[in-house]
Amino acid sequence: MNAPQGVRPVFGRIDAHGRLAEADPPLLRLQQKAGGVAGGPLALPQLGQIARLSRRLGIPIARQVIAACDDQDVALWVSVRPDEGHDGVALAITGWQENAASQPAPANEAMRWRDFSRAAADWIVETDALLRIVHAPASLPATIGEPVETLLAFGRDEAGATSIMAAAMRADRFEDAEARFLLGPGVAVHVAGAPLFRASDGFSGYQLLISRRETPRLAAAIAAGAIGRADPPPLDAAFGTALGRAMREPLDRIIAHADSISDRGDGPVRRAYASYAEDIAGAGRHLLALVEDLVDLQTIERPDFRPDAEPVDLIDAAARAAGLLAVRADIAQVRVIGPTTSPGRAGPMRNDMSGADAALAPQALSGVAASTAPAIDQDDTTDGMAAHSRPIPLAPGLPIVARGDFRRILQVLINLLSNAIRHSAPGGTVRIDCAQEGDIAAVIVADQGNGIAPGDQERIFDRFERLGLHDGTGSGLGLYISRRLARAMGGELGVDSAPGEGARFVLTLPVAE
Amino acid sequence: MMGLDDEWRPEGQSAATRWLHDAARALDSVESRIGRAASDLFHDDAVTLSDQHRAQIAQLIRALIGAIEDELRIRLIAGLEAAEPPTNRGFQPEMPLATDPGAAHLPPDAALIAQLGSTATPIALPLLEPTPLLREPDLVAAMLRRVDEHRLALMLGRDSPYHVADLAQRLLDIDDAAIAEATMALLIAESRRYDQFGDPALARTDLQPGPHRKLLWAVAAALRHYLVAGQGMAEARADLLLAGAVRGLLAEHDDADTLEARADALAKLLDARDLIDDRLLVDALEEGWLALFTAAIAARAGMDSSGVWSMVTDPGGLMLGTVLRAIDCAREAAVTMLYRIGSAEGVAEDIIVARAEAFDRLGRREAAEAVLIWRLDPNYRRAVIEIGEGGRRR
Repeated sequence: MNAPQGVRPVFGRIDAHGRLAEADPPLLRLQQKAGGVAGGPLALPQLGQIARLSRRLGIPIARQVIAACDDQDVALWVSVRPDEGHDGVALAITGWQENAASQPAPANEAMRWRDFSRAAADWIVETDALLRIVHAPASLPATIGEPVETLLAFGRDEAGATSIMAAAMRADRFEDAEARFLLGPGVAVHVAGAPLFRASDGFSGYQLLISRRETPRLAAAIAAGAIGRADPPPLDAAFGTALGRAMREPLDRIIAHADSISDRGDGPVRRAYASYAEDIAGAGRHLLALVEDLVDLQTIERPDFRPDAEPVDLIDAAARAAGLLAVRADIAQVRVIGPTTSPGRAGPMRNDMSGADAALAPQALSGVAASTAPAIDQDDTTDGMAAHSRPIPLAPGLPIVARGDFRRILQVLINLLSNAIRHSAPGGTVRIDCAQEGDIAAVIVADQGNGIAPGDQERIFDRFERLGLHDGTGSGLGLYISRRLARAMGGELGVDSAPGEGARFVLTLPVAE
Repeated sequence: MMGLDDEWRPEGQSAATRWLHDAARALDSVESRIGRAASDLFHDDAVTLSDQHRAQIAQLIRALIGAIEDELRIRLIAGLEAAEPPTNRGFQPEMPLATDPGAAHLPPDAALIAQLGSTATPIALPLLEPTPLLREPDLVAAMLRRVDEHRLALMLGRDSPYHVADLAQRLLDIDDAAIAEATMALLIAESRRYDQFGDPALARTDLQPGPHRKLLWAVAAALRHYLVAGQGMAEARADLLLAGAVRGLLAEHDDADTLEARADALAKLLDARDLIDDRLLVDALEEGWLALFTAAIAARAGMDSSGVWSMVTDPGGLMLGTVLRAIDCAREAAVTMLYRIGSAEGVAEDIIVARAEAFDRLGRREAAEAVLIWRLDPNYRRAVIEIGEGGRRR
């Protein structure tokens, strides 16, 4: 396609500024395919690297470089020589070989998919080639040897074939087959099937990775409180399992992508690989945060954990938290307003606002917080919108002083604020308000994000819950830890939100005497 | 002395002090690496050697000990078959065992011979591993050098256009019988550098006389344990049999047939004919022919090749430039070699450039002064550096 015809070397010259000053047509085509232009900066980084080195060392260098070009790798044997009098380098390409870009081996891809699926599976069942169970969940040993239909009721197509039967005809893998796991009254599940092969006789059955599916009825039952979500049990085996799952996915991603990159040897890094590298960095950061949270969790779940009980100015603490997250907010293009407080030092609310702005306004403490906060004086009106656009300067000498542990309060506020920033769209606003009523002091962090459905508002305080976050950020422990901390200091952390209307997290603490 | 090299010299130090310091550092880094290798090799949690180093050195040891054990077993079998049957009367040093007139004439120990000839389980390695016998610095140095040489040669070859022995062909084409013979002997010795899978190998015959002798006796001692404790052989008989076997192997060992000795021999011939020019050095390096590269620099500089090797692998990378300046290597060739080594070692571009700049700043006289000590006997060099650096190194 690009390869020059004949054996004549391809010549070019790179000037002192790294621009491709002269190029024979094949080299120019390569430059253009890589996004460069004639006379512009060299767009082939590996070539540029040895040109630069040759110029800096003042010696000729000859070596092979591999350039990425469309979906091909081009292996070039390049000789570069400092160009006397021009302060650049002359280059001659004597070997030019185009190969298909190396891709991860299909076997690895299948293994990777299986590892990912397994990380998310609740049960694993294996069958033989005739779809009889050969490996069952530990609690169902009697099903071994039975047809897979004993355990799983799959949907059938018009011809009456189940999805697993259809896939087994071609020994294909399948994903997201809906079924009922015939356990007790039946559990709605997704089934993914990885075909198993033996070297001697080919297809030998399926490994079925079965995950619970939350049905609308289940979600409604939870939302209605029919199925309670009691306080989670203390650290135990279940915690270990959940932890394993929480850590395994990012680890799998790190390993899978590291594999992909290492497959490339020292060749060029394509755009896709650069984004893999981003994934790796993201997964690494996530793990780091998770580890930090786990260490913290261990501390605060110990029976003898007692946070300090000292007077803490909530306005000062909120201002510090906002200051610490200013850079992050800036990067996310989110405006943080506050901490503000009303002249009456409580945060009442006009009720005629709707939508996201309503979420931003300092409303009456409600939801969980309301249970610990007394009713707020509704007559003390402050225009929420005005407060939004014009932060009210704090009245000097009027702190809102709560009783608690300054470091822990700061930790909770940083968590609330970073959540709010993370859930805000660019251009969004996060607002912090401080209020006091009677013997209750409160900090309210409100965002304009997607909000949280009523049924999920309690779930977000569960361990390892990362509702609506698919970007790999957040450990799923922040809100759980924050609520534990608030309660340990005699306060509460609650949320008030509706889908599409942002969320208001309310931290209440006892007022210092 | 002043002027040209002021930048190159750290403040307040005379050039000689600086060179002594550099020499000490290069030597120290090689020695401490050998020391670390010796101690790390037998610990699972070692972090100072890469896993690949550890795996390759462990493989070298396994293969080397296994090969020695096999050779000793063969000689033991021969000894058992040839000897008169054992006596049960204990060892009398003044009386040869085979001539004990009071012993009944028993058949040879056929079961032991069969076991020695067929046992697939290694005897010596498990017995030697927990002991300090395999941590002998000369032995570890030989293994480390072989592994480093293998790795460097691979990396150098990766950057080279052709994997053919151009230089060897040129040497054979000189039409000098002695050079041709020495070249072939070196190529044969080079072929022992790899095993059948292309991994580094260290043949017993490639060991220097010192470590070779020590290792043979160590394996013999392990076999003695097997014969005495495992097979119930009388201690004296085992000692005599093994001594005979080891002496046979020692007598056959040709000290001149090691890879380094073959390379030194060829380099000496080339040097005597004034054939070690810059191009030969660059070509040897670019072809990954490190034994010849090292020996050729050593011959041209009047040094020993183990000293040059420690300069080639000096992590600081300055000593190679110094010796190249000292032998008056032209800039293009010298910087090309510094680049090749740096690139093969994965050194950052800025560091390679800094090494080239250091070479440019260095005067030949200072360089010659710096390598003077390397031209003297290695033992003297080590002692001078030890004393010169006082207690700081230890």
